[in-house]
Amino acid sequence: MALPSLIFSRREKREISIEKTDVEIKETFNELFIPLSRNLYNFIFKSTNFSEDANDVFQETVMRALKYFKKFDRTKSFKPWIFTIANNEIKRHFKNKSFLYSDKNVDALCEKFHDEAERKLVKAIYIVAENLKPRDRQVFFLFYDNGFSITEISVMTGIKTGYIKVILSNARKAVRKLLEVRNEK
Amino acid sequence: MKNRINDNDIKLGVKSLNFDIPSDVVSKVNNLIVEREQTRNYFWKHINFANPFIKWAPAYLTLFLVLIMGTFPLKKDPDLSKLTTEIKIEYELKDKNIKILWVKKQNFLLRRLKK
Repeated sequence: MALPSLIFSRREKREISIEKTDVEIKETFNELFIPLSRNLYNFIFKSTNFSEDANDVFQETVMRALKYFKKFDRTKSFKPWIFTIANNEIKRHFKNKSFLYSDKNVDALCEKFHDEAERKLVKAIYIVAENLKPRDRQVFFLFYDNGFSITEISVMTGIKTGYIKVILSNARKAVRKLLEVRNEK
Repeated sequence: MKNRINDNDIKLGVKSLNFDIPSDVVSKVNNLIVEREQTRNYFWKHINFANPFIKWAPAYLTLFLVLIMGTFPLKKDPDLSKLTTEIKIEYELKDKNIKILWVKKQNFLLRRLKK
């Protein structure tokens, strides 16, 4: 006769614990995600060449992160984890679409800069980034925009460190070259 | 004149262009999260997988099945007495040192006769 009461008490206990864990999961996710959300959006937006598709990719990234947050190892850093998800989402996005139409012009974006040198530099950087391959562009923004180290990027993207260095070096050279050309003009 | 730009210059240049998350994207994401919670299966939602009883349920079930299979095997062991061959005739040719055994098997079939 003691069995039904035992089951009932267990069920009650279980419901309380579920409520707790669900709320806790949401809270911890929000705590970790909100400070990074703007950086993440910028990374996706820049990596997709200022495309409107960035909104969809951002949504998918957040939903995927929330779905797998239970499996996330809390001892590790959250930033590389969520940026890896974003990176994979962008990859998936480029797989489906061979060409991405840029909705914003780099010239228009750089109009807000009053300093001529700064404007030239930013313009050159974003023109170079626009002409990079999708994968290289992601590496470029992960390194320069989000401050990840080369080894971290290697772990996140699965590209060898040597090749990452080559990508960054080529991008740097391209920026320099573009600036030189513009200065000569 | 050569441009002596380094990594820090590029970093500053990249970071100087920042965008805010559009409000419609934020609201869309929030709506999606709420929608996801509502559409989640009620049964699965209310199961606490952290509970040790539920966590180890598959292991318990496997153990239980192994015990059941061990105690009540599906295939019964064949009757050994039936399988043993039956010696019908046994005789010896002593001068040639030959022993002849005529054995009848339980599963013996006269196939030639059937044709």
